[in-house]
This record gives sequence, structure tokens and C-alpha cells, in this order.
Amino acid sequence: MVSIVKKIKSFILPMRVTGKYMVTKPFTVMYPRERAVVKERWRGLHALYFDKCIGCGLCRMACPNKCIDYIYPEGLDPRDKKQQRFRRPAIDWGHCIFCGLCVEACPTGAIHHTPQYKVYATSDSRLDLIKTPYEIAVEEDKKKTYNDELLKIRELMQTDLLEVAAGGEWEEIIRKLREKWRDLWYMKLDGKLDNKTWDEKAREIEKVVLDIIKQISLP
Amino acid sequence: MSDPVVEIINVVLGLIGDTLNRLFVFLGLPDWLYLPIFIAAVTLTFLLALVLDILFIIWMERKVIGRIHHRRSVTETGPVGFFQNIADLIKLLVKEDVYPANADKLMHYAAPILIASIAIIPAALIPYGPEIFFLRMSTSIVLFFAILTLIPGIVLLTGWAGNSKYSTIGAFRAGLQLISYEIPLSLSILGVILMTQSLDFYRVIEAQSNIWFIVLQPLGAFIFFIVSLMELERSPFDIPEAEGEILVGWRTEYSGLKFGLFYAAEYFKFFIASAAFTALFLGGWHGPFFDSAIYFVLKMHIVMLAMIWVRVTFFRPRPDQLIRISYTKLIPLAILNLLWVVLITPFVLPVLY
Repeated sequence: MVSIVKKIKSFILPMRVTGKYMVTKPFTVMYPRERAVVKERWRGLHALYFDKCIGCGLCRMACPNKCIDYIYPEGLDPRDKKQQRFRRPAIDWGHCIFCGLCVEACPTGAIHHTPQYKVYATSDSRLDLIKTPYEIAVEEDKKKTYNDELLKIRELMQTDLLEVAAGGEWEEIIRKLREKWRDLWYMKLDGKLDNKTWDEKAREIEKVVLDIIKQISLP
Repeated sequence: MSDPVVEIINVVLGLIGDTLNRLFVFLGLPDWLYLPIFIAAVTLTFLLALVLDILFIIWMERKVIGRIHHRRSVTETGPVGFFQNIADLIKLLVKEDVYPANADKLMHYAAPILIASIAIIPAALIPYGPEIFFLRMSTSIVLFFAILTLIPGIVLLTGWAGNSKYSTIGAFRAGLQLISYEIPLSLSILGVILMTQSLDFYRVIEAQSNIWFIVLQPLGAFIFFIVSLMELERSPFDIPEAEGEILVGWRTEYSGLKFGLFYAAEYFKFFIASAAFTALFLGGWHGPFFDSAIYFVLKMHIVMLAMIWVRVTFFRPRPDQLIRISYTKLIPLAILNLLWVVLITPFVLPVLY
């Protein structure tokens, strides 16, 4: 008698399970039409608490793809170790693999992931995927958008992100241009160049770099 | 209250007759041609309705199976993917006609047509409403299951004609399935026949006006349900097909339109098996407030849903397990059901009709 009850149960139980599944919502998300469900630990695009950052340099060290480098605010000297705490990370989402190691390394939780899962470019320029710290800043007063690409290039000339983004035969060329630019920058910081000549000379180099970046832009 | 389905059918028949009248006057055709053309037109119309319903059933099956798998199933073609079956049909129609080397050409080409046409004939024997039936005869239940028994014979010939090991094995498995389901099938129907003392579907449905036979003989209904799954060669009893063991069994060498015909035959059988279950155990057209073909169709689709549900839930037994289930479980249970029917019939006879 017990075995008969057991056998009947073994028929009813699976039917109950499948019947329950029949009326529950499907697991599939119709992705392009519906928003994807983002979990708590999702490693999306980065954002930066600008004021929390202490410029320690750990995120650059942790990055396996070398797509983080630092930008100094205007008027600060990178040769002065005491001013390093004012530098902020710029990140190249074109090379980022979203491994989350920079976020793990950050001692203050300044750089963090957002639920945003789409890497977007507003134009066909490769430059759009490289974000300066002002672009990924959370604080409203630090936020900045660049209308002119040359303005953005001026910020990014401090970093090695441009040559990594260009890659291949262009890498060496951009590095040499950047070295020339950095000499000019240091001369300006030392007071050997006045603002106007620095601006003209730097702009010439930046234009060449921008042309190269445009050549390797997204198809 | 009159049956709304009858009204609709009257309108359709009137439309067909009217159109034919105008056509005959316009073309000046002789009068003796009228009756055959009228019958052909009516048959085609109802066949079209059947095919449309089958398209709906296939859609429902895909959708329900998807839901049980936590998927969404078809979504892209048409609203909620409803026209996916039509797209699949068009794909089957334009496929190349492949014919295996050294196969029996006549049997190879005749099999899909024979099986599809045989599978649809029993649909004419079932009364769908109190006034809707194609053919009423005193032995319709016997004829119904006799016609269905023809199919495994043709399947055997088909498998042999295909000149392929998979189709031959599949065909013999279909034969094996036949000998295991045929006896419990007959025994489970016998309960209903004994209780109504009639071999007519119409009388059987009439007898259920007060109480359905699924209440009076649940064991018989259960056995008939399982056995009709075996007869349909649907999962969990898809032993003649057995994907993963012998490809698609006796249909292995068929593609394109020929495969489409087999597919259609499978769903014709699905349709008539659930219609038979509705007529024999679920009270046919009887329902609350009024008697209508709507209730018949509704119950039929609920039976189909249950069959799909069983299909997704259980796995396939081995051929020897199938025979063991059939001979050691189903046949004794069916005989038990017969005993039960004999015991209760004197008490329930006044309730019937």
C-alpha cells in the first residue's frame, strides 16, 4: 500500500513542479526591448567620487590592461611628489575589460562601478571612449563636458592613454610627440614660457595627435 | 438557447451556396455539377478551419513548453509569435525534395499522403455539437479506432521502404507500440460502451447530460488518457521517434513537404485523440446553461493542454518497459475498471440520459 502511494506521488510531484513553472514569469529578458536586470555586484561603467580620491595610484597599478592614467589639475606640477594627491584617474573604456580590480584596489572607494552596462560613444571618435576624471565625476561641481576635442586632448596629453589607444605604428610617434609636449609643459610650469607661446606651441602638437586619433577612429 | 456555432455554420454554408449560385449563373455550368462542387467547397472550408485550429494548437504547444522551461518560446513573427508556424510551413514548402537511394519510390511518396489522409478521416465521425456532425452511424466508435489502427501498418511499410536502418528500427518500434497499447485501449473504451450500451459517439455524449463518465469511471479515463498518448507517439511514449536514439525513427528519410505532411498527421491525430477523450469521458458538448459545440472545443483544448503538460514533465521509457507497463499494469487496471463498471451500472442507469 505504501509503495502504491509512493508511486502515485512520484507522478504528481513532477506535474506540480512543471505546473508551477507554467504560470510563473519566464526567466528570459527580451534584452534590446526591455531593460536588462542588473545585479548588485554588476561591474558596469566606472564613476569617480572626485573628493574621495587621494591620488594614491593604486588603481593604475592594479589595472591589467593599463587603461588608467592620471591627470593633474591646471597649474600643478607632477614632478612635485607632494602634489600627487591632487591627481585623478582618467580611464579608457575602449581598452577596459571591466575586471573590477581598480575598484577593489581603491582604498577610499572613490572609483566604483555603476549599473550602467552600455559603453557609449556620442560620435565616431575614439576619443569619446577615453574619459577624463571630470567626465566620470559624481559631484556636480566637478563635472565637465568637452565641446571641443582639442580641449580634451590637452587634458589627455598628460596620460599615456592616447598612445595605447592608437596602438601599432602610431604608438611610438605619439609617445615622441607627447615627450615634446611634456618638455613644453614643464618649461611653462618653471616659468620659462609665457602662457601665450605655450598655448600656441602645445596646440600645434595637439592638432597632430588629434589627426592621428581621428585616423584610427571607430569605423 | 440555440447554439451560436450552428448559426455561424449556417451563415458560412449560406455564403458558400450563394457564391456558387452566382458562379453557376455567370459561367453557365450544368446543374449536375452543383452538388459535387458544393460538397467539395464545404469540405475544404471545414478542413481550413481544422488546419487553422491546428496552427493554433502548435503555437499553444510551443508557448506552453517554453513557459515550463522558463523560456519565452516564439515571439518575433507576428503578435506573440503567432505566425511562426505559417513561416515554418512556407519554409517546408520551398525545401528541396530529397529521395533516398535504393528506396521504394512508390511507398516513399505514398506514405505521407496516406498517413495524413487516414489521420484526418476519424474527425468526421465525432459529433461536435447536438446538430453538428458529418456522419452519424451506430458503430462510429468501432470505426473510429479501426481507422486509427491502419496507421501503424503503413508506418511499418514506410520504414521498410525507406532503405535506412533508422527508419526500419523506428517502424518496428511503432509496431511494438501498437501491440502494447491496442488491448488496454479497447478495454478502457469497453467500460463506456457497457455503460451506455451503444457504439455510437452521439449516444455516448447524450448519456453524459447529467454526469460525465470521468466521474463515474476515473480509472478508465486515466487509462484511456495514457493509452492515447501511446497511440499519438508523443512524448513520453515517443518510442518510434526517440530522438537521440534513432534520429526521428521512421520519418528519418523525409524532409520538406513530406515531413510537413507527417507533422500535420501527427497533429490531426492529436486533435482526434483529444476529441475522442472529450466525447467519451468529458461529456462532449454538455456544459452549464446550454449545449454547444463551444464547450466541446473548449474541453478538447484543455485535454490537449494536459497532454502537452504530461509531455514536458515525464521522460521516455524503454521499449521493454513500455510493454511491461502495458501488460502488467494497464491491462489489469482496465479489467478492474470493467468490473467496477459492471458493479455500478445498475445504480447509475437512471441518472443517464
